[in-house]
Amino acid sequence: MKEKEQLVVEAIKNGTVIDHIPTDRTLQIVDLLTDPDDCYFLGVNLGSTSVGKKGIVKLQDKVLTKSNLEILSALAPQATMNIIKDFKIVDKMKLQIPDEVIKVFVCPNTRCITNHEVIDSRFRLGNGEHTCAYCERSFSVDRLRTHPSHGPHS
Amino acid sequence: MDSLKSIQHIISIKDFNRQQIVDILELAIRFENLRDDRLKGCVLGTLFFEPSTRTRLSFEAAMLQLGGKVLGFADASVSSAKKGESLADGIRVSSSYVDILVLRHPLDGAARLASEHSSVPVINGGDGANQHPTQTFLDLYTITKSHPELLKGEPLKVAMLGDLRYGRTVHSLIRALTHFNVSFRLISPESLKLPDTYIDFLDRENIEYDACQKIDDALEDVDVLYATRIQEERFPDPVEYNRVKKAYHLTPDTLKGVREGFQLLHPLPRIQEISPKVDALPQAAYFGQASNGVPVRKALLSLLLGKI
Repeated sequence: MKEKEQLVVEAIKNGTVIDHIPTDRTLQIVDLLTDPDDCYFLGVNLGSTSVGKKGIVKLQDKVLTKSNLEILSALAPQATMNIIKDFKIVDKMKLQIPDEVIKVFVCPNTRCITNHEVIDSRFRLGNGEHTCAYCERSFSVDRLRTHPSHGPHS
Repeated sequence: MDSLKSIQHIISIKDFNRQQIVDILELAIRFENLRDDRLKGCVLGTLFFEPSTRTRLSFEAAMLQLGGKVLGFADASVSSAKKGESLADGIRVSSSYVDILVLRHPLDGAARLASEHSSVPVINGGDGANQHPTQTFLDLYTITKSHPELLKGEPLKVAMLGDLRYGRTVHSLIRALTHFNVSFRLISPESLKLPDTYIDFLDRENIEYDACQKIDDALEDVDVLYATRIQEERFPDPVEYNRVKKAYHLTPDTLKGVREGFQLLHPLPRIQEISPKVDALPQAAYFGQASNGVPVRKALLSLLLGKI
């Protein structure tokens, strides 16, 4: 399988490889973590024993910021991250899932105060669901849209 | 009462653990029929952006019976919100005029936001379809007055009837009761079922429950029936409201054969879900329940103002 991945996803010289992303969240994560000029490679629907079909993203010459890591942890807590230098893995990292993420998601509850006042949304993570700290409703990650400030062109 | 020292605001029943709930219920007993001047010099601000009768009046009565004063509004159209002022700004300003605030607001989470911008304690008097914690405390107070064994770990079966989807009193009460040895029967039309998030919660906590749509034969093994109004104002679709608005009508016949000590509760107002003929029955506990709002709110006001 590894050999097949290497055929479809180009190796990078320096940068970050994010592996074991649930395949249906791969494009969303790319969208959120990259800028328009970034160079990256991605694969989706690759086989994985841990998450079923998985996605992989290779970000050329890019190190994730703390904010990037929060988004990634909230969207794909089971993902792994490798830091690449001169085509070699120099650091392997597991994501630290934060207790709470601020201004990452938009609350899907249209009656939530966060959709009516200029305030940062806050979601608590846990039990496979994210819970709005204001309206107290819980949502699966699939139902959450990310905050416009995390868009690729923000 | 050490468990209560950390409480600064009353926003959601989820913020309270079992010991805190028990201590608040015991505190409320001390305020039953009590009138004194412990809150003299204190001012309660009542910010009601949505209509309310019982909650607002019982907060005002509680404050006045303890020597405090009240100012505020009961109609959002007379507040600066009408001019477009944000809730956060409104709270910053009004909290500088008073010693404690009670807020009712149509949007979910408004009370939590208010507590983040207020310089004084905030009590949630109902935020949209989310929480109404003081109602929950008075519901629990009413139940434990008749069923004190609940606080000692004895089992109790509670049926929830009516609007289990949008009813914030139902959501808050279910969550609070799960701290005790309670099983549930959920009786509602299909379209007003308890939301999945609460069903998942009951499953996670291994709480016993069953669900049905009809009330026939559903009360024989029940100790407390918590009936609710089908709330027109929460329905996005008026057609659906018209379809279910008369789903339940409790009469003396409905209550035949219920257990000894059975209580019928309702947060009021009732529309047609309970016949006035039920009012005279010993099981009808809803008017006493509304009265219990005063000692419970006296206890909560005194607690937050450091006067217990």
